[in-house]
Amino acid sequence: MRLVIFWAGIALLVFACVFPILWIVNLSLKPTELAQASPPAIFFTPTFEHFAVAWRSANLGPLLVNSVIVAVGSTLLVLLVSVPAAYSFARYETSRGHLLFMILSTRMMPAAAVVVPYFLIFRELGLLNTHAGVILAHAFFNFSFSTFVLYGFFKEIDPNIEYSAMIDGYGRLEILRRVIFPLLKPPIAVVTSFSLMFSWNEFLFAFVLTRTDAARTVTAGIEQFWTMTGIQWGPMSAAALIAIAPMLVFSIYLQKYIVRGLTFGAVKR
Amino acid sequence: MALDTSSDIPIAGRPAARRSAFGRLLDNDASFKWLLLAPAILFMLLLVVYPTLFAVTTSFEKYILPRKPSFAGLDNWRWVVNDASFWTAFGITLKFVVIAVVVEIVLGTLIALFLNRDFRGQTLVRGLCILPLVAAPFATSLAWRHLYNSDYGVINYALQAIGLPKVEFLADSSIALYSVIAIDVWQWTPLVVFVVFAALRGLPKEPFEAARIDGASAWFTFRRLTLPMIKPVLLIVAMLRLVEAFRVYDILYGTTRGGPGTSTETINWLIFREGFQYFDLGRATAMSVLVLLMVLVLTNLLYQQLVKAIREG
Repeated sequence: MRLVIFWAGIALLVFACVFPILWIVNLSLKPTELAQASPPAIFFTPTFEHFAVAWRSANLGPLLVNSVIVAVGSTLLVLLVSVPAAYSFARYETSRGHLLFMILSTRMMPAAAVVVPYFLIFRELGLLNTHAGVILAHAFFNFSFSTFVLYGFFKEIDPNIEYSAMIDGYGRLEILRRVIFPLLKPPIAVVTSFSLMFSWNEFLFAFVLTRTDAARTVTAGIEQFWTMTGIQWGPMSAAALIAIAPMLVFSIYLQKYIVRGLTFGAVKR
Repeated sequence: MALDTSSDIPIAGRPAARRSAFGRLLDNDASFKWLLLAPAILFMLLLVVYPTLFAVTTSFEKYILPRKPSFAGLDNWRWVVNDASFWTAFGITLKFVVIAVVVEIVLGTLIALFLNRDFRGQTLVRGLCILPLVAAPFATSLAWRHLYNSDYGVINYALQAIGLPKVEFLADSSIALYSVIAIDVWQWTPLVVFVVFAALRGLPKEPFEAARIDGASAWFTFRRLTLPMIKPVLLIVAMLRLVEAFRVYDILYGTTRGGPGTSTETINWLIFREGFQYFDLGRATAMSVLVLLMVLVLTNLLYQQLVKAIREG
């Protein structure tokens, strides 16, 4: 009996987590005339026309390319800035934690409070509708996260490893290259995965800072099926599915890092 | 620091004379640590300090696109502070954040306790439960919009099938906020589950064995053993959720867009509307700066509480 309740609980849990996502799949395969049918159609002859429509009319190919450029670009930028910073904070307690706290608190800035000045500044600098603009914006909100996770990892590396390498006659750069970098693989994997995911899923900045398809990401691009006359459920769901599919697949890999990543490295497993 | 290399003592095997100026900069701890921070400081100046200062100056201007800005003194600030919609939005935001975070923590902890055993297919179950976290919230909120619909939505269909009345999830102004909170709960509870689950797996076995031998009830064991031990983790995840919940935006855009009326208009939404629908950038930035100040004070207080709690725990 207890076993039955347990499995019923598991089934309910899995159903609750997966159903809305399955519903996107359902809508994307449903013929247009059934999209708003009541009672809702669960069984029907699937059609792939929405994918074709979404792909053609929404320019999804270039939008996916934009998503990749923005996600990879912002992640690289974040790593370039946060790796040395986190190392400095962890090893030398630079600025006694004040600067570190300041960096953390940037994550707490409400998105809308940031997006207005960003929009104005980018407009003046000609960065609207450019990859660089979206990359900078995404780097902004991944930076504090990344610095924090890396800080946690660097704190765990015993500084004596470095000191003994130093006594052995290695220079600073050699120590970094031969001692620190090999230890960095797991934390970099965590930070990279999460930075890519945040950037891929981000909507507000990607939407506001782009008015054309030149740099708009695929997540922001789903919006175009929401027209004055209503929502085109079929093509929009098809586009939404194309937009989230890479992350759904990626989650298999991400699972390993999820706890550390999402708690800024504060919780280890 | 165990070893001080901040003087000009040459590092073994490397005569100082042969080092370049850059090399000497690297060898010196004091300069090296700031050199490492240089990109981060530049980054902060460009992407945080400058936009903030820009927002502060804009908040003192009459700036309605596409017209040019002109100095307006405290006009925007007076307007924001006296504006009922700002404070209404502030109240809605607080309500959203508090309810969402409390439900997520309680529900997430319960699910984590429920999952904390070994069973067949556990990896698969966890893998599926992670999906709400990784799918773009804007995309999934659109699915919710469809599910919530009163004419063709699946949820209303199911309610009516078991004899319950129709619910206007997104169109009824007394319900819409809770419907949006439910989406947030769906999206973020898995985070709490995963974090608490990891914490539970890391707990020592012995105290629980002892409690079992002493015949302690499940509730007593939870209250006196489990809860105190996972308290720091719960605080961390609560803090994290609190910060993120303030930023809620995507799921509003996908569902209610602040409506019906202003019943789901959070601060974030209000600023967005003022800035990008009315193009009143002066007012939008005045609100931004005010919110920024409030959030900074709030998180500072929370942060201190958190540090205290972790030290005591």
